[in-house]
Amino acid sequence: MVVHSFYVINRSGGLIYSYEHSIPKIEFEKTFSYPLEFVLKQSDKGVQVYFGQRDGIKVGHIILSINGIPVRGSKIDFGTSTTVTSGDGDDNREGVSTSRDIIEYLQDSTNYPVTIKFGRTRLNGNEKLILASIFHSMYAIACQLSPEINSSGIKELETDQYKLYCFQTITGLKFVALTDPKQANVDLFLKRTYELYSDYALKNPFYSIDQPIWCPLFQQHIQQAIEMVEKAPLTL
Amino acid sequence: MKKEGFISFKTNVYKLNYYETPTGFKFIMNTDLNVGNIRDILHQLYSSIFVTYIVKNPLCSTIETINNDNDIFIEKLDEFISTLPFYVQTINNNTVRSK
Repeated sequence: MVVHSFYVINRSGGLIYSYEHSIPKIEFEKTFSYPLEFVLKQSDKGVQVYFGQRDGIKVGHIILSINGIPVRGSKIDFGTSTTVTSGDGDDNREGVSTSRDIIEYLQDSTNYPVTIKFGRTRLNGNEKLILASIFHSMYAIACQLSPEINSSGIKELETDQYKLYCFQTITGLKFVALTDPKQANVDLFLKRTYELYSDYALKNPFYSIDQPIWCPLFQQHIQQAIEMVEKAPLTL
Repeated sequence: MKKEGFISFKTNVYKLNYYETPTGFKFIMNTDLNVGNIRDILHQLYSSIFVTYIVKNPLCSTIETINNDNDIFIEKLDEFISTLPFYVQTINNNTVRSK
């Protein structure tokens, strides 16, 4: 029973607060021999698996490290080494670090066996902002799509891996929590976060409404509220 | 463990249930809030009604909208919906939307 993350979206759909409590790390490290059975493609996030998912490594996963060395975009830097080993390719030169293109490196059979770590990177700040405004719009669309009159927007959204709860206040602010599908009392938790917002953000004379929330006491109390809702499933 | 993805969302008055086939057809059914997971019902709707009366029909294009003169599909669909345990006949009939 876990609360993965908590977000606050302002009245115009902008993300003003985001707190990641426990997001599961998605990483798989395995040793491979030539030829590599994945089809890899360059993308703006790095080198991605395009086709051929197997053993937990899915399409869209990105190469995070090769042989323990973290990648840098679509290239990998092999550090300096003092001895030149004879059986190796041309990537170990005394005192020089070479940057190799990953896809080329993996097409060369002399570099195998190789240990590659695949995974999914966390969302960066920009992506979170975009997704928050998309959710804001989807919330409004759900109101319009209703077969009954006077519908609210999306209150709960369920997938097989997580559940998203959204509490919209009368003033138009949205408190969103992503949790384990079996987590209970999330609606009570969101109402509690509204109380915390009005205490630590709104009553703060230096805080202007609809702006990003940078109040340390707010963060602290949100963390405490999450711990409480995770520990005690039946009471709040 | 088969990955299902998005299953449903709830507002304060309705629940939107979703099922996507591997071929890209999306089945959406709007129900009352107290209906549980009906993914297997939507799958049954796809396999026993949609496939039988639309896909296997050489005159039906799955790209264009399903016409209202596609009587047998609508009849069988209606029959199927009325046998669902959570279906309740009201003055304004429940709407079922499928794409």
